[in-house]
Amino acid sequence: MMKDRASLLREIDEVSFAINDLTLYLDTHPDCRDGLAAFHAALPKRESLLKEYAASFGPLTVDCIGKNASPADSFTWLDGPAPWEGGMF
Amino acid sequence: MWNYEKRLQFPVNIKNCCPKTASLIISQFGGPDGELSASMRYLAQRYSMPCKKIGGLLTDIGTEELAHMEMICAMIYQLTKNMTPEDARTAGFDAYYVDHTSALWPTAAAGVPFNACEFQSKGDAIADLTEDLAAEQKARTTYENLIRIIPDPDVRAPLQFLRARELVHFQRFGEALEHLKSDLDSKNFYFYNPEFDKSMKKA
Repeated sequence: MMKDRASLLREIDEVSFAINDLTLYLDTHPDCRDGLAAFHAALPKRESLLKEYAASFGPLTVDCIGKNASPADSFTWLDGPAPWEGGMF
Repeated sequence: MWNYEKRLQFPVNIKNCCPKTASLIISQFGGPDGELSASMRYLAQRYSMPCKKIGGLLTDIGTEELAHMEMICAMIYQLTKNMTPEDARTAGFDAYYVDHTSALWPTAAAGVPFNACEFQSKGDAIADLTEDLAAEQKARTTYENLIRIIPDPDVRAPLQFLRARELVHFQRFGEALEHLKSDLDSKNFYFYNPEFDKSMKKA
């Protein structure tokens, strides 16, 4: 079943936040095995969610442009709502 | 180098126009303990930080502060985008409105414009890290003051997220300071000027 935009974005927000927070933690605890395991578990999850989002709703990063469902005949980077418009739900 | 990601770190979706609230939270954009000041502080300090790991931490926290600035700006934008001139006048937003309409401009809630004197980059690792610890506590206090006086749940949720991040950043800077102190000359009983300690490890 295809996820709607809001729930997919929420999943991206959650896994990305885990990566942000773990990055700061690992900056001061670089040898923590649990921290490293959580970090490496989250990375591929984010990668695949970004790809899934790009295929249905457009790219969130420039690197995601190539992950659109089919190659677009115009530039897709500025398509979709700006994050500050609150239209990301 | 930075890459933009087209989403906010935490969702901001404010339904009710309220220039009064905007005029208060704008302090976390351009005020003395705001996110612009936080970001510039850490991103400026990192070059001369003698410990490579702490320079990396400053980069990562300084980057997150840019995302916080974006959240605060999104909140101000959503609180004012549908205001009428009458709203601006009665909500005490009129002076700002005259100069900036509903555009974003960094200032403190009391009207003092953003100023680089709000942060320091001293070139001394202990001085800089203790400034960073204080900055996180001051920003936490500001968020707590805002949360006490703003009732709208749409505004409170992102403010509570941002408050929690101040706590985490304080913790990480505290760990960085402990790490730095363990690398000082053991004969240096007072923690000062590690930049001039040539034997300081670059790790």
